[in-house]
Amino acid sequence: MNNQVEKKQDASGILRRITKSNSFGIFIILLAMCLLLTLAVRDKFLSGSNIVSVIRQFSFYGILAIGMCMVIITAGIDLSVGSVFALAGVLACIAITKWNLPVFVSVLIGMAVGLVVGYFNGFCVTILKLPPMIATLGTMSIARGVAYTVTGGYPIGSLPDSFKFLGLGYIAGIPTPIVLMVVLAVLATLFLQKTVIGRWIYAIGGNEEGARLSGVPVNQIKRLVYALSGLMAAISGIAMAARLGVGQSTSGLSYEMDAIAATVIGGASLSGGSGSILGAIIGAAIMGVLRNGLVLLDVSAYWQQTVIGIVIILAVTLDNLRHLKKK
Amino acid sequence: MKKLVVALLTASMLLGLTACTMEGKKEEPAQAATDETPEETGESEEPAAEEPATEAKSDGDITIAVVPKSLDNAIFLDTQTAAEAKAEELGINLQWVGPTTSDAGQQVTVVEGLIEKQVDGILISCNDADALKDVIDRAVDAGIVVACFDSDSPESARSFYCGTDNYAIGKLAAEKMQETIPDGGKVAILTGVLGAPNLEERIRGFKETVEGSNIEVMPIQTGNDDVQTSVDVVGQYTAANSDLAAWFFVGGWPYFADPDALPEVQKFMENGGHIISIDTCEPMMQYVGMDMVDLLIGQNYPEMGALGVETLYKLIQGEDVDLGDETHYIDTGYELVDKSNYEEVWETKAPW
Amino acid sequence: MEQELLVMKNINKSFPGVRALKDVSLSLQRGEVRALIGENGAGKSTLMKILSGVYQADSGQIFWEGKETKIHSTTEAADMGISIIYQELNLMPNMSILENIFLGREYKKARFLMDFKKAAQEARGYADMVGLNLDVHTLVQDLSIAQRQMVEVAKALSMHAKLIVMDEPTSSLTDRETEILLNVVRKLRDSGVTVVFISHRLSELFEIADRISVLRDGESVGTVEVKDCSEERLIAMMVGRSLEDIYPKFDTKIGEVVLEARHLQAGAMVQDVSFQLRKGEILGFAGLVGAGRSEVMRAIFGVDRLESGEIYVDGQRLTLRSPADAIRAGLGLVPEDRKLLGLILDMSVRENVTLACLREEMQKGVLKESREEEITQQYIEQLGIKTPGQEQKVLNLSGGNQQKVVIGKWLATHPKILILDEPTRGIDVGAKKEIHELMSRLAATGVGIIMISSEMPEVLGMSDRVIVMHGGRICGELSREEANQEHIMGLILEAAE
Repeated sequence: MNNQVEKKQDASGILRRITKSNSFGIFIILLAMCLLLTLAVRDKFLSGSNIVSVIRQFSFYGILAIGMCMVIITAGIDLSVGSVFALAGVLACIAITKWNLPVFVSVLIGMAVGLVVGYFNGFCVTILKLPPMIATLGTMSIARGVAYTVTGGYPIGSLPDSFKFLGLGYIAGIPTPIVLMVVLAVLATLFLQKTVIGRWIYAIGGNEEGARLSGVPVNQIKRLVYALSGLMAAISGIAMAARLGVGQSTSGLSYEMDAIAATVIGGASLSGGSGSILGAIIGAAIMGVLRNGLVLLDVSAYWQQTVIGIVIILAVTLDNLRHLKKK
Repeated sequence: MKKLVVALLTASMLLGLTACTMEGKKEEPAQAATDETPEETGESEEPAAEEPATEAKSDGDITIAVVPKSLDNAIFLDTQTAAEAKAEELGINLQWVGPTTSDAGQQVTVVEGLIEKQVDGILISCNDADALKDVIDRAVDAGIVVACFDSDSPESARSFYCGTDNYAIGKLAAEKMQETIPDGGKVAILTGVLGAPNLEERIRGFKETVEGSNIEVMPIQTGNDDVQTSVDVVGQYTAANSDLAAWFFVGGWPYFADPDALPEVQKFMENGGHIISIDTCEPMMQYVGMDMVDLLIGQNYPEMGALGVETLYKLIQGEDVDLGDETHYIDTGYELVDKSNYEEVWETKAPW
Repeated sequence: MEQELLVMKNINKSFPGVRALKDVSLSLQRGEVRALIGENGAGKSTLMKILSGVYQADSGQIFWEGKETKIHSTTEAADMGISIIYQELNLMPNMSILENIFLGREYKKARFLMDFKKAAQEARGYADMVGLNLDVHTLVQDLSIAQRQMVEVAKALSMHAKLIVMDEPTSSLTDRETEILLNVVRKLRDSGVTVVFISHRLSELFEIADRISVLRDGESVGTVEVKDCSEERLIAMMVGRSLEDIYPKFDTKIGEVVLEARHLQAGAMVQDVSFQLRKGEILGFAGLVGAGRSEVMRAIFGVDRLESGEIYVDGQRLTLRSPADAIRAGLGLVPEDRKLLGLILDMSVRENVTLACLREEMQKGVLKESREEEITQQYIEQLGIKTPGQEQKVLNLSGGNQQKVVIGKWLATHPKILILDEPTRGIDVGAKKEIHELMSRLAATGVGIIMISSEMPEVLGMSDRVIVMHGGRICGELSREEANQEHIMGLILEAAE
């Protein structure tokens, strides 16, 4: 009997399902922001090159937010992504220019470093039982320090075009970082929604002890999630080094905060159990459009920070209100 | 397994602690000189601290610490190289220490550490003139000769400041801008961290000079000292404002990226736009040749390091030094780089 | 006629989709103890929340001391003299008894300073009244649950409450603690305070209440004098039908040993524990709260580390590193605290039911929604889980249905051994019976069942064999025939000496 009722709803209610999905509210906020900008500075905002530029800009945060989102769903946090971002980019560049390794191998080295640092975070959280905030605060400093040390503070340039393609190139007319973000987001969404491990990730965030008692290998899953976050940070950082054509030990400073903000705007709760990749990407988009809008609207830099903060608080509040209403 | 980990952790922490305390004990009588000067083992036996301060020290005993705004800012690398070369020439010890990020509070802590170590001289680029005044005064009270480079703390008891007159540089940029675009127009400004005194001074110099002229200064944009943010802001702003006549970069952030990363700038210049930028670091030179910048105005970072260390050395040795007027300001000058001279200048720069 | 303290007349209250209260009336005399009973979802909590100003009634009248009033907020209710002590106590564990009693209305001497002396004196008075013979500066976190309840009562007294509502105050108390609490309630009544007592334990209601009001499906069924009422009649009033048999235990064929524990040792609460469980058997674990029963089960399930001892399932020795290993060996554990340990409250019925069996059911780790729905539907039907749909969050289900979801989760793993820790705590009478039936049916299919329960009648009614524990040790084993209340208490008291 229940089944029939549900099927009936399916037929008439695909639209309702979309509007009820958790990411819908912030998607509306994003649309509203775009609409406002279009009204205010029409041709400037809607020009193809500007849109591409905005998406490319936030795709780097977006990739970070994918990893961050998974960590936050388990009720954790990863403060080390900004540093891993720099370290992976720098190491890939060193591998190419100093060790003369092929681009492909160098990129793999950078990604491996991200995985290792991320896995180390997971080790600290699950075996040493450190609070995620503390563990990743430590690795944040370690990874940044290593990046400074290996470069001596100098940017590493003169990179081959095949490497720069990762940040500056186009695939079917779309900038590579955007393609990267979309592909990774789709993969991560499938991973979270369609696999047993994905379900476990949500279960851990919902009730860690309960999940453990239901046979979920909590510690292994957590290590995996932190490792994946490190990997995402590394991919993003390598793409950034390719985009700027230099590996810099100072890049990615405070990017972890942007990634956290994007994830939370996207509907994830810092207490775990909820959140979606789509939401995190939309959250990153909101931040990107906002920054772009402030530049286009000729808002003085001295005000931009303030406005960004206000919008973050407004966006999350609006979304919360919508959820309260639903209940 | 867990027990093993805990045991290992505790053991390593204990070891670390004892190592630290032992180091501290060792250093107190012999000062920081021990690890810096391997060649003068014989002399270090003498209790240096009891010698009267008036007596000139032997060169090998002198330690000067140079404190940049932050260790992660590549702009200071030229200063470091020059200062180290000068120190070697003089046969003194040089310590390059600083906060990991541009933070006044961290920098105060670094200076406090140097007071503890009783170095002989400190050459510092202040993150904040007021925040560092107090600790500089304390260092001077402790008998350390302190000087500022790059960014001053004029109210403090520092002996002198050697560096650029930031206001003058901004003014110069404005004058050059007026020469470049005699017909005037909209000029956008890109800065780094908001509130940094040297950047604010340059902006003030620029704005006050063009005030009332045919140049319209747009609201200030920031790249937050981050290369990516700078590149994106410049790209988006340029694309969005087709009537923009010129950019004034208060620092060279976008030019630390690869030229390929700046297609909007390339297009802007091809369409008759103009850019004047502060800084003349090595990676920026290629942009002059590529016509992606009209003029670079460089501070003389190597000179700040070399002249700063040399003057400090003389003061420590009690020599008579001419420190100019009552503000004790030594201008290290500036260099102008455009298409006519960039190749010669490029050759003098150490590659990054 | 005695003067009525409170009259609630024709109260109606609806929530979206639910009519929670239909024309409910209730009148309370001064100085009486009134029991309020009904299955979960019958409307008890809603009625009390209207009384305390948490909700407003859609229609109906409230008379307080003869005058019609409206109660708009909890502070208003408190000012009138209505105090409610909820199941989840509202105390600050890191503060002292004294501070908790006066929380929110500290005695002021100078503007910001508490007048400690005067407050302490007064607090001591209230504490004595409720039999709390402790230093009032003791921190609440150092108190037992029973003592914390006394602090709540003392707090109510300090606010000069005329009406105190106690929502299932005895559900987590031992028999002795319950006795103390009931004494305090009697004292309150004698001093003229009216007490509304909500409980599922009928036996204690007969001990304490003057009259009993029954709610069912949001309607008042009636109010009866305790003197002329039987337990059967009350149950019939509550569920709307008579329960032929409270404990539906069938005789089943008991097979060979499926689980054996040998000399288990884990912390202070598991000391040299050995026992056997057979197929089709329900093995009851009796003992006082804190006897170590739950700890034994946690060790067997791989939650806590075993220091020494061996566990065999079907004669195979188990090495346990985590609950996942226990599940693989065919064990299931319905934990004591379903909200904290049994369920992911924010997840749907479907996600909870399938959580433990995903590893087995889903090929290559890929979720197949149709298979999930199939499994969930099977257990919704088999266990009679009342839910608007599979996607309903379990948070919104009643206690009984939540417990069925937990049980469904384990049945979906097809366990050989199912451990149930306090399976019917805080569950209404109807759902309780269903769970008991289910246990019997499961045993009949050859599953070995271990049941921990602090309700003696449940242990006696359901078990084929009873193991008695005290202080982390097994202190006796009784067959179904030998087991009775006196026997079990005797074993415990013997062990205590």
